[in-house]
Amino acid sequence: MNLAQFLFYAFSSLAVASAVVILLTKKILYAALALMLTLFSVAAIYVFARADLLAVTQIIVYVGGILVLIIFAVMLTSQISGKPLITESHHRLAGFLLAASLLSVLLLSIFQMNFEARDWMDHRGIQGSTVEPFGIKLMSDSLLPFEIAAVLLLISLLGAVYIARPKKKKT
Amino acid sequence: MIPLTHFLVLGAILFCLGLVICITKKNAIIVLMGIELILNAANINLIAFSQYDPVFLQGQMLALFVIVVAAAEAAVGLALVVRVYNYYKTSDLDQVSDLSG
Repeated sequence: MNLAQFLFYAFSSLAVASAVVILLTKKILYAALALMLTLFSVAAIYVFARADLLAVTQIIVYVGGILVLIIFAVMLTSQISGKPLITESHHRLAGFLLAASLLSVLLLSIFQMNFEARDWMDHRGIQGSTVEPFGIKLMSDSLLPFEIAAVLLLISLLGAVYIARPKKKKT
Repeated sequence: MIPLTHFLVLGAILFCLGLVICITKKNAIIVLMGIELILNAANINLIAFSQYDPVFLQGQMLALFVIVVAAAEAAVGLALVVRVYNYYKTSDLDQVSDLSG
């Protein structure tokens, strides 16, 4: 086992372990920190799949944006002098049964499918950095989704500010 | 090179963990965290298959748009959670039940 494989399995087990922490912990802030660890490990996994630009995007958007939003929401929805920030769980048996059966079906199909031997697989792999071809492809082939994404982000930003604004005091 | 199957197994495990979090947790913020986990698991699959794609970088492009939509979804979802908290004084999903018959 060389260094790259060792790092891949280390980061995968870190991702799964911190996701289990989110599942088991009752404190919402601990869950947010464990989510940060999971997102960092997933970014490292992206590097092993030759997606260096997406790994950086993952860190910037998720850890720098979404996680900060989540922590802000945790702060805003906590009573200042009230109960500690814990969450209860319900439907435990049904949830575990559903997820375990789904996981077994997924694993069974993954191992039976034998993707490596399909004839549409291109085994040359991606060579070198993907940043420059990614930018060229983004600005040529998928220009329309790019622009739609820009409009979507603007609308969701305005919508979030409009929804979360404080109620007007009637004078 | 890491075999494709290992990426897929990791994606499946993360997806199921996100599903359990969505089903069992009562707090709305943790449910949103579970949705982020599910989206990340889907992204791992997209990027893993993109290594072997004859069309260059197709899966990675889709994964980028998934990240964009996840950011928009998180912003609107958390704004809704804050709004619901201001109205009901709780972020527990079971107590937001005005419409239940």
